[in-house]
Amino acid sequence: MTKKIFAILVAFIICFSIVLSASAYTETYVYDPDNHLTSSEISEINDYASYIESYTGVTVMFSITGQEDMSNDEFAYMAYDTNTDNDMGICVVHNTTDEKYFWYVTDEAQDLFTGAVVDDMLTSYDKSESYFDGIYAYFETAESYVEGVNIPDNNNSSTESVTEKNENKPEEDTTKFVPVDRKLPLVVDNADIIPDDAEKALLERCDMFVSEYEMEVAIVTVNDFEGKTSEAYADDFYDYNGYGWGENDDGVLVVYKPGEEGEREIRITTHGRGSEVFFEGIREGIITDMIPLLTAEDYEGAFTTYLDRAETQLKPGISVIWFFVLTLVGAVIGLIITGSMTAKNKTVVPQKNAKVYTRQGSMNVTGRNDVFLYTRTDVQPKAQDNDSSTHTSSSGRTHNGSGAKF
Amino acid sequence: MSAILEQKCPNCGGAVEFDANSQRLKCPFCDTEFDIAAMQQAEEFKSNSVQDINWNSQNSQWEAGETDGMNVYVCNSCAGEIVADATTGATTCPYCGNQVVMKGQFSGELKPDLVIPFKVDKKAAKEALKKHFKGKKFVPKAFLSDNKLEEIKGIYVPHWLYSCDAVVEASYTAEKIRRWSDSKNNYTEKSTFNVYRSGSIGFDNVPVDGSTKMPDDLMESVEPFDLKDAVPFNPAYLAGYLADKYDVDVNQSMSRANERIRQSACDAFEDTVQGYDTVTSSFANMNIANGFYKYALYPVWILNVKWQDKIHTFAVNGQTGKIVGNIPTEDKKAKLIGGLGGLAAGALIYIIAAIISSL
Repeated sequence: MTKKIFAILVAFIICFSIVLSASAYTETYVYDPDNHLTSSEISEINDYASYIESYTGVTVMFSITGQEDMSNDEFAYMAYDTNTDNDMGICVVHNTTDEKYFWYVTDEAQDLFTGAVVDDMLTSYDKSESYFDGIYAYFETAESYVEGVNIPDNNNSSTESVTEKNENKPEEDTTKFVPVDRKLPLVVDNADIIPDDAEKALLERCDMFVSEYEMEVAIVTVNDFEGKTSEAYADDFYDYNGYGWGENDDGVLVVYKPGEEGEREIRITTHGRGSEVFFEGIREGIITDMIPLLTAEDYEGAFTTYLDRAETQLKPGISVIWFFVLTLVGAVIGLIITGSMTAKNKTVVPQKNAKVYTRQGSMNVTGRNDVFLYTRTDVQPKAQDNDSSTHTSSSGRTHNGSGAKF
Repeated sequence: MSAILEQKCPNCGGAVEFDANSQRLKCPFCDTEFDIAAMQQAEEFKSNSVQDINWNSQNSQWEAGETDGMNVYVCNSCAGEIVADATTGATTCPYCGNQVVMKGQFSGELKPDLVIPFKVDKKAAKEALKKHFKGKKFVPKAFLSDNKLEEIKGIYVPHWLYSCDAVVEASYTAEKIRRWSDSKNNYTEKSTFNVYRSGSIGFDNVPVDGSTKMPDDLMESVEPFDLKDAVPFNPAYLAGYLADKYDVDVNQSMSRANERIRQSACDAFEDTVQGYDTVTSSFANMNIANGFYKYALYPVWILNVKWQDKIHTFAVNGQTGKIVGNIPTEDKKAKLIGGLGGLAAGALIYIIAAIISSL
């Protein structure tokens, strides 16, 4: 009886989720009838799983239950089958009553989720201290096995079936989800132009910035912008890979595409507090400093310059520029003050008129005529927004950016 | 019609032409159209010529024996001539401080119609000057001393006083501006009017300094004098004071009076053009009616201070106590202190801000 009630319940959840969404994709990826997780935790995990599914086409599910009447394998199959008709996916069940695990893998995903892979995913889950951390780690590990199939320039191997599925997936679906956490490291050398030692040093410094200044400073190199403009590519890369620190995703990311003269392109995108710290003048200054080094293919030097300038901006304290601004403004104000003092020493001023000698009440206007001549209307097209650096990315978020082609 | 064809467009200045289709005047350069009647009226306003301004005198003549006690002194240095009564005498020139010698008995010249007797005595004038100098910054410390203040002299300065009715005829180009916008454009609609005004306004006793020795700008700065205290001239008022002789006659001074009266009259009539967003004077003609002038002596305390080979003249209005005069200023010192002080203050703010932000 309990089994039937549970089946009805699961079916109800599935139907409800289908009614709520016109999307072909699943919305329930974690099932927790015993409330080991809070609703916000479930929501966050669902978002993450949805993101994985959106760009890999692979459905990953997890269930945690104390169910005794239904076998774990039945439970896993039912949870998966009633939630999605995707034939590429996995659902793992943790039965808290007997502390056993079971999983259901679709036929298409058998090559992807081998026993070793599932063991790795469960190990990630098992070693975490809380259910939430464990389940999140489970999804992260799963993603690490499936994410490579859809990322350009990624050398990870993937199954043929997964690749084919991703190619068939609607393109726009890959750019809909802005993940909560960053999915890639702060240095992504997809163009493979930075020496490994230098890449490691740059990454360590970028990681240091996060802890030291609470700002993500990222470096990305690519061989092409996938048909997008450099601005759109940089913004999308930032958004859909979850870059940015804190609630507002504060950060700055530089994307560089090497090439022949005139084809090289650099783009800096900023978001959140990053847009305040790296304002237009700073961004353009950084690019100006980097261009000669990038042209000379001194990539380590170029990105080190970028990080140096970033650190100067992020470091507590006031820029030296302000010293010159304040002293200059101070000197001007000082001159105005002493100028107004000395101006009081000069009181000889010729009279401009004879107003003070006007005879009281003598004004007599005898002729008054106002003749309309003509009307002209000037039409002036409205000026465009001058701050061209502020724009909205495809995710709907606001970015600022600067770039150069050289 | 030919007169109309030669008219210029009020909008762009191009020559307008008659447009047969619209039966209106049209500017071929900016395509603006005008009513013929309105253009004719505007041209009529401008065709009025400026007439000469005539003034009448009301001067009285010296009576027999009236100038007997008045002597004329001449400065050996600046050639300035001053008048003093026999009991007062004069030893130094009030303008340059050099010795003067008696030239002879006063004669000739017009008799002043009015005199405003001194109301501010020498002691009050000295105190006022001392107080005036104390409040000023960047003045050389050695500039003034009590000894110099002793050299202050009371002098009656000759002034020509002009009274008249200014008859004004003026036209203005006025605009009413309306602005609005839609999603694509900003619109500015300017409705242009030709505005005509005429009438009169009276002025009484506009003064013009009649002494070349006394700087005109200094005398205009020490204005105004109130003629309610003026009395018919009597040589007795010169006792204890010096008097300057006019050496700029009434005709030479007239142009300055006309200048000031014209400016005030035009300003007054322009103020009557209300209800527009912009008003530009396109033409103004002023004639003088009922014009007459008087000759008056105004009381002024004069202090000349020589500083670095330059004479600085200070004037105290002998009726109101108003003080004018350019005090020598240490401009370089002021700029140095202002610039460096501001620079230091800016640097200090930076250092404090840098310390606070690094905490």
